[in-house]
Amino acid sequence: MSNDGVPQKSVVNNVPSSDFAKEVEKEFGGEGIMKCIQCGMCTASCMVASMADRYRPRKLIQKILLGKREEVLSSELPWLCMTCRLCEERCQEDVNLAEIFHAVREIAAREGYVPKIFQNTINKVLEDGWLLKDAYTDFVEDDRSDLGLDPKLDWNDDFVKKVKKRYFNGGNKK
Amino acid sequence: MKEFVLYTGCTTPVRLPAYEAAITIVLEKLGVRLIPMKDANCCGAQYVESVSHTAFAAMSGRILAIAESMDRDILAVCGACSGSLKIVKHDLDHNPDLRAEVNDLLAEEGLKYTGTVEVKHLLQIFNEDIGYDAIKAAIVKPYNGVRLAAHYGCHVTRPPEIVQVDNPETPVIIDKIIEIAGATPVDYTGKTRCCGGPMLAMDQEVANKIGLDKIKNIRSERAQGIVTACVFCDIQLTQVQFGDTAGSEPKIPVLTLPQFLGPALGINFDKLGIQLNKISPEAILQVT
Amino acid sequence: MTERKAQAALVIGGGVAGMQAALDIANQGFKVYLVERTPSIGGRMAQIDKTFPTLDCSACILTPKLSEVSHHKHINLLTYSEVGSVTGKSGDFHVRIRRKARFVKEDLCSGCGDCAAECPTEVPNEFDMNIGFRKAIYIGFPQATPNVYTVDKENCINCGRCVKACQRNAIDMEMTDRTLDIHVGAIIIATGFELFDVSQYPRLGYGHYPNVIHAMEFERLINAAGPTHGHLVRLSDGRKPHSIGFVQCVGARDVQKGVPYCSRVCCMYSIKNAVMALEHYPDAEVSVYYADIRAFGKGFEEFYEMAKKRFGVRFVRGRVAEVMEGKNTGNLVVKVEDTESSTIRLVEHDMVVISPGIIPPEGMDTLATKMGIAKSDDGYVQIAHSFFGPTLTKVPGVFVCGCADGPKDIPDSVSAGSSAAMKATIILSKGGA
Repeated sequence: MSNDGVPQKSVVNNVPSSDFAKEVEKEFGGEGIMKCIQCGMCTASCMVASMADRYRPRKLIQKILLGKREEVLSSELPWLCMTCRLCEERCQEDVNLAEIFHAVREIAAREGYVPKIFQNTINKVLEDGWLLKDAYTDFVEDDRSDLGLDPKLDWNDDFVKKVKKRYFNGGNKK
Repeated sequence: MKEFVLYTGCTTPVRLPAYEAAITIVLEKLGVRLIPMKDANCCGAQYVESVSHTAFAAMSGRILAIAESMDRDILAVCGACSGSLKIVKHDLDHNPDLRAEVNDLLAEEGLKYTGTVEVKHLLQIFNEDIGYDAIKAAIVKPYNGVRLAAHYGCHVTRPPEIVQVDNPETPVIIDKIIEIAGATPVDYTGKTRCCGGPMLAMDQEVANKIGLDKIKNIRSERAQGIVTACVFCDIQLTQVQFGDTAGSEPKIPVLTLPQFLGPALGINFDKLGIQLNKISPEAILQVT
Repeated sequence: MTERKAQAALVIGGGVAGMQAALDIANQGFKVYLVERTPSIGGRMAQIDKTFPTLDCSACILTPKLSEVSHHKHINLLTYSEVGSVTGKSGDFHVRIRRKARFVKEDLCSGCGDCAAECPTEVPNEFDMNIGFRKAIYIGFPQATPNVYTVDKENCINCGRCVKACQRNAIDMEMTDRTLDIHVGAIIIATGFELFDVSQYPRLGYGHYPNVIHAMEFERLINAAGPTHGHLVRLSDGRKPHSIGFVQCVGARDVQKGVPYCSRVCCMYSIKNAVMALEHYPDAEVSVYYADIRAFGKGFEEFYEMAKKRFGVRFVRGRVAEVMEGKNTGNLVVKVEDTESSTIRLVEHDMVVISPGIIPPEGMDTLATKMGIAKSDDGYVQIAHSFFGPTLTKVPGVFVCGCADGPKDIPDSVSAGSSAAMKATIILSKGGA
């Protein structure tokens, strides 16, 4: 408090609100988020957290519960989950973190927040029908023939175009 | 002969064709015939799955519907594909609106999902359709106790209520097969941890650390080889041993389950694509 | 002619709650049958070393009760017995008791122990949580009541040496089970609890790593009458531990394992165990890994503060994900997130003590069916009303106390015993009506 009695301007970090958590709860897969008691079992199990200091699944859930919508949606953190589900196996409150983070990703995608690598891969698969068209070299074709496997890989690329049209609005998520 | 339609997924045919060849020939020997799926598409795991649940359901749903049109159950050999197909099947079975939406899209090709096909992972075929007794009976050249570490893969075993392959905390199928074939299954710290594969997209460094942690734990049990049941895990556990941070210890051979079982069943190495394995397992595949 | 109603009560379970109920009924002049399925009364309290929050010696405060019960003229003590069938209604129950054969005559055995000295067969001692051994003819613990030996026929090799050794001819290998039919006006269920089987958590290593033990095993190790004479040692090599970790919420507050409820006593008993570890080894490092510390009762918060400040117990807020073992040392590494600093820690301990939650005892289902009483979702006896009938079941004349209707500590169990006794004697004092 300053001496002349004039109150200092306070900096507000976050006004807690359950709106974002409720939004995630309504999304497919996000149902269990309110059950979290922040015990840390998930983070202790998480191999990403063990190897990357910036990622703490418990804290990410906490941010959602506290209503930090903009921060969470624009961050790379929800995309760092490997979906290995060790956390889900062990969570004693039965919170399905990988499902919740998928729900968050879907909300993020709707608002245009998709990491480049994901977007590029999605674009590729919706174009070719599968992921590794460019990696299918002559060498690999030869290997397949030598093994007695059909060198012709018969992937369908029509269906993904329909999927793209219906759900991706020609490239961007609808 | 029991028949399954083989869904390879994107990765196996290109990155690990030996796995595809080995599965086909080993299962044939054990009384299961595989019919390749034609005109398939990516199951949508990881990427499409993350941004649109409906699009994901459509992509995996089409695979399920194709199998239905072939009147055969699906054998998925990649952990991610197996997980995706099973999860989408579960969602379609329990969610009539989603099912209607997906069927609407499939109708244009004359395909429909009604839920009559099952999705199985390779480990289920061994455990449920072939059975340990039949495998044991088919062993002609048993191993000599070589120490092997099994790596099951996260999407193969979890979430257990949906995939129903094995006990996720203490899985046994690969270990049992290792034992039946005369080798020694070895337990190690962090056996059910992820290989780090899915992390390659966002942060390769972290993915490598996770993979190398597994290698380190396996090495400390003096395992001579690693047996895998997912193409992605196999590739990841191999390639982390080649990175800059891998260290100078001799590399531990990584091989897929059918490549391990094949020699014990009397199948030639070259039919199993052993020569294509980046870390040659020939030393450990000495059978009697 | 007025209906002849029963003037006696039946108490099922000889733990501290059952004993309190029996004494309170008997002290009013009514007759009580106290049925206990193990060879001795005393229950869990007999196995505990010290109680929280006072650090009283459990056996010291329990044994006077054992004595009182066994000498009481109105209490008919039926140990090594089980309830067979129950018919009738409040004021007028007919119960068939099955008295299992102990192959030792209760009225002749003086508890001298000559038989056990001769017995060649040793088996793991259940009272010591299978850490120590007992003979095939045995007494559970030194103050077992009645102080009579029992033959474990399953492991007895019928060599006959004990029969020869007994100077009072108290051993009768031809003994058979008997039935006893009783007529009682009220029944009190005081069947206690069991520990959750923590081997259902493979990630914690119990059952695989010898130095991972659970709280009751810890209790027996620190107890002077226990298998190591009160020396807290590691089971792998008998050495004293320098660093001990306590893992909370195992088999409690776990939706996935079917035990969603809080087990109420584990926080406090673990703080007590942590303090006791430091009493044994003041230089040891002791950590407790928890989600919440529930120190709700009288003196509990103060006990918790004392554990932190006076004894230096480290409390880490984070549920333990994995316990790993170091091959050569038998040491353990606990993987946990310290949620207060968001740091993932790998902490080495040379002993890990898992704190199991408590669950309804085995056989609860059968008993509940026999008695026609309802069980709640978690398997415990359902009480009639949490405010006004915490010791009433939905069947008139049948009451419940102790842990049979839910986890409780010793003071609450004793209170409940008295409360149930009161309810029972209201019936009996009205001539059984």
